[in-house]
Amino acid sequence: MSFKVIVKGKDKLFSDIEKALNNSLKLTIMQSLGAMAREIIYNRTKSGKGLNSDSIESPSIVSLASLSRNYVKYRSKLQEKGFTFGSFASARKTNLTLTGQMLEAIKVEARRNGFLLDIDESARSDSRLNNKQVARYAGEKRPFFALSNSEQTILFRELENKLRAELRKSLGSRSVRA
Amino acid sequence: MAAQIRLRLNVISLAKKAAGSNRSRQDAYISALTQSLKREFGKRCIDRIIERTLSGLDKNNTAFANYSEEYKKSDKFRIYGKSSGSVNLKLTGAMQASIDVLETTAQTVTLGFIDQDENDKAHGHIHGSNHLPVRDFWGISESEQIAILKETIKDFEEAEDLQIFQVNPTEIDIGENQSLDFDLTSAEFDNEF
Repeated sequence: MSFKVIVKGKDKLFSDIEKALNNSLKLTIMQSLGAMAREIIYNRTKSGKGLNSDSIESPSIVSLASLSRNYVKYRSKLQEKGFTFGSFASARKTNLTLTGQMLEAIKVEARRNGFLLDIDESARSDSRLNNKQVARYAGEKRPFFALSNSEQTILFRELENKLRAELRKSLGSRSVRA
Repeated sequence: MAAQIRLRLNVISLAKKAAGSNRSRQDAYISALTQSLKREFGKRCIDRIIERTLSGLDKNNTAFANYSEEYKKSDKFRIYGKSSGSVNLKLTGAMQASIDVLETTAQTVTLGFIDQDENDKAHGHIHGSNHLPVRDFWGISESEQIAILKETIKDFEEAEDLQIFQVNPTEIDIGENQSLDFDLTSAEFDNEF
């Protein structure tokens, strides 16, 4: 349950670009993009939206499937006993949040040419399963761990803007054509 | 489906105004209007529209109408960390990200939305709909257009023919354990992840 985002070029490398974007800067940009991708998935899921699939190209955003009646009863009983839900969750709300541990376990690993989004295999306080296992189970009926077309566009635009800004700074009077 | 939102900028007219009354200067400005320059000019106009919108101002530099109380109390408002004092038409950022240079011709640069859903969202803001007030962010003054064009021409004056990158969102391959490739046509970064 992970996906890589790789920034891949097809044409020859321009030495000016390579000089302008040193490795540290590329890593910084990828860290920023990765954090943005994480936030996109987190916020979208918390607001009750998922995807129609996490294994097809450019899935669409859809409302997450409702919780079953029995599960809502279970969550309501927990609440009566003083259970504290994770942020933005309630007994009835479907946003893949009970304690909040799974979504908090989304992690980003940046490289200078891309980043990896994954769910950490961290232990949970309420289960023998780890967070990655719980995410895999949750994602079967409620896919959430991928990026829709519009979400990918947000990342593309952010990358484009960052690179334009950096190159304009570094190249001085030379133009940035994007 | 709402009507297509477009902003068509007449770069020839802008170039003449930027150059002033001197005819040979006008010709020089017009001859500088390459495809890449026009595209970059369009991008910078988009930057300006987004920057102004995020600061809470419409196309006339007037503050946007406030959010409704119902919206301010909604989960979405809190989840996305919005501030009730700052109306900026940004929730996920998808609408802003969808704005792009759609076309350049000999005379014009056309701005619009690459995604129909985002176009429709923008249409709602621009014209008001579903009880939404009008929040018309879609425009940029002629004086700003001229200033941006002048700056772009100046930046291109000594430029080499640098094809920096074109981000092509149509070539995507993503799924579990697969890759989402940004098609950066110029920057050959390390292929090894």
